[in-house]
Amino acid sequence: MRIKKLVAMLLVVSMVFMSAGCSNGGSDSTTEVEKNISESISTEGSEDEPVSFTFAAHFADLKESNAALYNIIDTFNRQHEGQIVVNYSGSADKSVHITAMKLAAESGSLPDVFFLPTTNAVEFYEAGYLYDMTDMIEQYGDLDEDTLNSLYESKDLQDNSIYGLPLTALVTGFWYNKDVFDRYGVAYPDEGTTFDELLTMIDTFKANGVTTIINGAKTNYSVWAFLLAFARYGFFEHDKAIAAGSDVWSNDDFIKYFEKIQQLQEAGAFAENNSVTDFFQAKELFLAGEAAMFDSGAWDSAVVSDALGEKAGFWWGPIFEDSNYNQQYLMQAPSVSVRVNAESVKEPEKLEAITEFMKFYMSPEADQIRVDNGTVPLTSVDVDASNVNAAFAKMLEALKIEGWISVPYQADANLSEVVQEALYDSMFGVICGIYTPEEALEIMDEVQTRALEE
Amino acid sequence: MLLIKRVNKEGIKGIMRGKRKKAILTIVLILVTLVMIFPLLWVVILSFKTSAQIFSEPFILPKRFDLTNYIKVFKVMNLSILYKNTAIIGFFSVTLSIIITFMSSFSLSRMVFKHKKLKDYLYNYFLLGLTIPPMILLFPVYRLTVSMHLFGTYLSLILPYTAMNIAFNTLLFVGFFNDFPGEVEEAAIIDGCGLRRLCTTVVAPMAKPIISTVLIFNVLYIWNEYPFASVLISNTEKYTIPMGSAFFKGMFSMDYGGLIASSVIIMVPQLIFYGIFQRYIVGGMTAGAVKG
Amino acid sequence: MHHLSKSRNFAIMLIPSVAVYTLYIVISVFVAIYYSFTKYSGVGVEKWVGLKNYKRLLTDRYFIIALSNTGIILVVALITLVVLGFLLANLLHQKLKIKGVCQALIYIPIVIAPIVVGVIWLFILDPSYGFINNFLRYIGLGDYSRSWIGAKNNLAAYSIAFIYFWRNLGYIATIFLTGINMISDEIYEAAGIDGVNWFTKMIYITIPMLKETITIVIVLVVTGVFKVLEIVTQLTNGGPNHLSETLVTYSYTVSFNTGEYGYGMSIATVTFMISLVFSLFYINVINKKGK
Repeated sequence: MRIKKLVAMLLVVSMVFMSAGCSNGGSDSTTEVEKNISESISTEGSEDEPVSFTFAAHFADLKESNAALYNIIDTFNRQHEGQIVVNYSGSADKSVHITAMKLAAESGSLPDVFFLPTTNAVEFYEAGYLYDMTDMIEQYGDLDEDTLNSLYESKDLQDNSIYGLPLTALVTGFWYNKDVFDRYGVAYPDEGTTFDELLTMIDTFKANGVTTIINGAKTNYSVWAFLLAFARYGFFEHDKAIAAGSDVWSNDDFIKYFEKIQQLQEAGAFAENNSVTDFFQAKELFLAGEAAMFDSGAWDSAVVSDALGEKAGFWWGPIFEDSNYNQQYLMQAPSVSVRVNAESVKEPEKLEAITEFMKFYMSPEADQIRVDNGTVPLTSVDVDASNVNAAFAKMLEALKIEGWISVPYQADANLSEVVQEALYDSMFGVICGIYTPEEALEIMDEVQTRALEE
Repeated sequence: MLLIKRVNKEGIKGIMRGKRKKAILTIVLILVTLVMIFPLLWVVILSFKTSAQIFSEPFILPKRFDLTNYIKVFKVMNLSILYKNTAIIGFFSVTLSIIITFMSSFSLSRMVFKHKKLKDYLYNYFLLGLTIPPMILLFPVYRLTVSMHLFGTYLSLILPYTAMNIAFNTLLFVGFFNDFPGEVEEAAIIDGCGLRRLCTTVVAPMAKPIISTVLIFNVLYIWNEYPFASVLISNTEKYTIPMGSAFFKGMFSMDYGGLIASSVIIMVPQLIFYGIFQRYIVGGMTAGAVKG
Repeated sequence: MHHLSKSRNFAIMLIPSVAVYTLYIVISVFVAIYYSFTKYSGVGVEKWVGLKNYKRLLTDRYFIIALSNTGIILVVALITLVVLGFLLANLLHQKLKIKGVCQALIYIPIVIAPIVVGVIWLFILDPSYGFINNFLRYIGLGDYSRSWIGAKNNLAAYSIAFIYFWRNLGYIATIFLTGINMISDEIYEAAGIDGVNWFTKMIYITIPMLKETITIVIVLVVTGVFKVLEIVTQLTNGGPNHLSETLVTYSYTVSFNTGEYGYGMSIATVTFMISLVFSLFYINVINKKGK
């Protein structure tokens, strides 16, 4: 009797294995990027063992989520076949990745090269986990003056040192679906669109049961367009003082801004089930034509282009007529975040391999790959923008608007981890109608006070 | 809804007799059962719709049985690795925990303690584990694992899983041994049986039923366990089955559909497992509660 | 057996279990308590801060929310599981032909991975795409559709309690059933209440005889509620804005998402203390039975 059961169990298990094996056998599983990249390199017959190092970032399916990086790594591996192998490994999303990096650092298994935003990098720096890349970049990189200066100016961890390279130049805002606008006779938004005009748009969409702005509150950091618009109410005139303790979050300008967000919520701009949707589901809904605008950035240009083609548009958000500050802000700030493990470079071969890679990473050739794959180049060298996807073309147009300048860094970039989390919570709190503007900013002040005490 | 049915039944109770009573109760039971398993059926139905259908026409039944979700899941989610990892971790952990708890439970129930209080104290000590919320253990176990340089290995999960099962296994084993008189063992000892031979050749065969129950229950726990796995494993090559499901966010753009299909794929083997070993599972969990 | 009970044998038999258990379970609890007195971000060295984390708990609005949500889930789960579980067990005790199949089916929810349970119910409770609201709209009762999860009204706690009830009903009913089956028919006869209403029998005979089973069920439910994590994470992730956090999920999010491991451990310690009270009760009952 027992044997029968055991056999039955074994049969079930082997059936599962076989079915999984059969369907996996022939297909090219793109998440196994490591395998893909290694497959393109044959190490059989090569005399030396190639030097390999790991690159970890927060894209589970690299080819799909960040084609630019995928192709950069792939091209580099091909060019250095048999000599250097870059092994990419990914996590499900940004916050899972950051936790994984922390755990890895503490257990001595930190990858050689990894993504880590400034906010979290501060502690890594203080604990000595990061490699000072200044020499590597200055001596061995062929960077032009402007680009090199921009790396210093990005004010990462230490003045006069480079502790990280940009993963991308962050370009964020609203993708919009022209089809949805056409369907209800709404004019496309542009750089002159005011907040009141946006409210009118929302009325039309809402009356027809369409979500105007879609984002997913479960992914609390997906408030990029709102972090950008914050600049139009003087965020960058307040933030340093707040961080020093001489100003508060609950100032008049910020309250006015959050009131605008509240107006959006009250007008019905957001989805009813926003708070139980996450960013990836929101993206799916937008690409399927269920919403007019999507809060996202350059990293999604490829999928937006695939789904919407010429019907894709890009917008920096509304200008606010009652604000005293500059309205012409766009977002093209470098997100400094690709860092090197201080332990790894103690092996000279690895140091050499990583240096080679960084050289390539910041080269015009890599920039061409970036543009071809729909992300903004990192260097100041001109690139051939004729091959870009339709959505990215719109983004490049938007970047060239007369008189618009970029914010110095994204609003959340220099906040401490706890304050950053509170900012995301506060913004989504107003978006979901849970907090009033005053409550939201009050919470920010509580958290900020506590952060300053320590 | 259930409550209303009960009240109805009670009101009519005085009048109905025999067959009609049985018929009504049967209907009630069937309805209850349907409501209980409905969510599972709903998910299976949903898995055959395309993602677009799920949100544009949430309530309509799928027109055709669309397998796109499943195909995508099989392509992207490396099931054989997930099952392999869970199987390896499960096999070693369950084997280890059954052996060591068998030994400790046997000694707690059969062997004669010099200080009687020690036996009770140890027994309660183990049982306390049943009620410790796993949450409080996540971070410390992680720190422990890191300091033992085991992070990211199979052992990093095998040992905690073993530890988590000790309390339940002790409860069941001790209950079993206490219920069974030790005459056969006494006879064997008089014949000159040593401790090891006693356990392996005399006691273990006798305890087959309880060992089976414990084994199946331990397997089920590991199959379903998520919190420890999510904290201690960060390498996708070592993910276990429950993690495969959570890992779905952001994998590809067909998120909704993929999520549902992967849930069904994880669920079905568990249902088959349950179907085969139902008697042991129900018996084990009940024994855990009712036995003392 | 006396002859085999030498110290050496004791050591061999007991030490492995004691070692693994003590290391991973007992010492871990103390490690957690230690960290609850520190500030630690996950990287670097922890900093001792004494009772600061505990003081913060008292005024932390999210902690209070988590506490109240856990309380709601506890009370709702207890009432529904004890009452309906008991009634269902009575139903299953009747000589009905299909009861075997039904019992087997009702038991299923507890076998399924909790994370899958969370995903399943997401597609039932989602205010826009979920089954319930769409069903209500379909049959014209759209006015009754609610934001079961994800809104300020905090129905989420009740939704979670209901899911917990759904998951455990079969299990609890089976436990009651075992208890009911052990009550022999003679007792009913001996009490001389032939021909009396079924309902009266239940109140005056069955329930008193099941006192111990009821106690065990209560303790099981209580300790079980403190283990719920994945269901909440999949459903609402504690949101919106921490409105649907439970003690367990709040501790998890504070530690692993916000990187405040010290504070997270203080929440976990408080949770543990609460569940410890009930667990001591449980041990007591078990001990009485064993003797």
